[in-house]
Amino acid sequence: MSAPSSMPSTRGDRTRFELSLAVEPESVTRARHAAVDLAREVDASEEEVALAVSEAVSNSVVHAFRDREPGTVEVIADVRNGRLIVTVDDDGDGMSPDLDHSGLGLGLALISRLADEVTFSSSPSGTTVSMAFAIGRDADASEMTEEAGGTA
Amino acid sequence: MAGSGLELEGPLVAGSGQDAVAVIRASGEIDLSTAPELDAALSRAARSAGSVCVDLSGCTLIDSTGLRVLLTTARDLREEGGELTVSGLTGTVESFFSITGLLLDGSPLSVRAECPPGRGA
Repeated sequence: MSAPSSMPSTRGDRTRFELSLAVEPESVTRARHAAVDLAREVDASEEEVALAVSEAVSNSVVHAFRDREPGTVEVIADVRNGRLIVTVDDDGDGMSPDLDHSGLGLGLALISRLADEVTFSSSPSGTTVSMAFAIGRDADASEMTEEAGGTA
Repeated sequence: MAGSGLELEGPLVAGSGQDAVAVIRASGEIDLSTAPELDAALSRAARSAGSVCVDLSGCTLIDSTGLRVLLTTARDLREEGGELTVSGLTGTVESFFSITGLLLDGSPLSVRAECPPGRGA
């Protein structure tokens, strides 16, 4: 993972992007906007992608670097096997109970609800959240306003 | 999903005495980068009146960070006998309130169609 920067670095084409973001609140907005642009491009649910990415990057910014210098949050998005895959990866301390900040549970619960499939990986060297979203017609069928059954 | 940043108007106060309601109008996105602005505006509003109404009709996104600010203010107001009301839920904001259960009976936030018109605090 590269050294932290105050500005995001971006590389990609119209159906994928990679962002290397500093651990700061503004990175939540940057990552979300990039993900929404891509969701629109590939016909995924902009609402679901926006909210899930916001929660995942917020978790990294708020919880991952509690007792040391902030590192980096990388956000990678691309289309694989007919789904939009967004991965949020930080080089923080991993998931652990944080008595100073409430709400971690809500963020993870929301991600699980919003994404069609989600995997969490946490170790002392960082946390990775990978979220899959339906695209095209499948996205229409899994709109978040369709409450019955949930999407986790 | 257009619009970024957060613009806040108010507080404007409607009514008087114990019935006074401080109104804030929020436009844009409420997330980790803008939630502190909402928090500060809510603190000003809570000093202007016992109850607060937040008009979110111009708001295009709120996430759990923004929700936490609203719920903390609601709790503080309730402890003093007031309440926090939100209005103008549309699009992604309405969806977010729905999936977090805040549109159900017993929600700590009251939802109304619109905030009352107010005058400058």
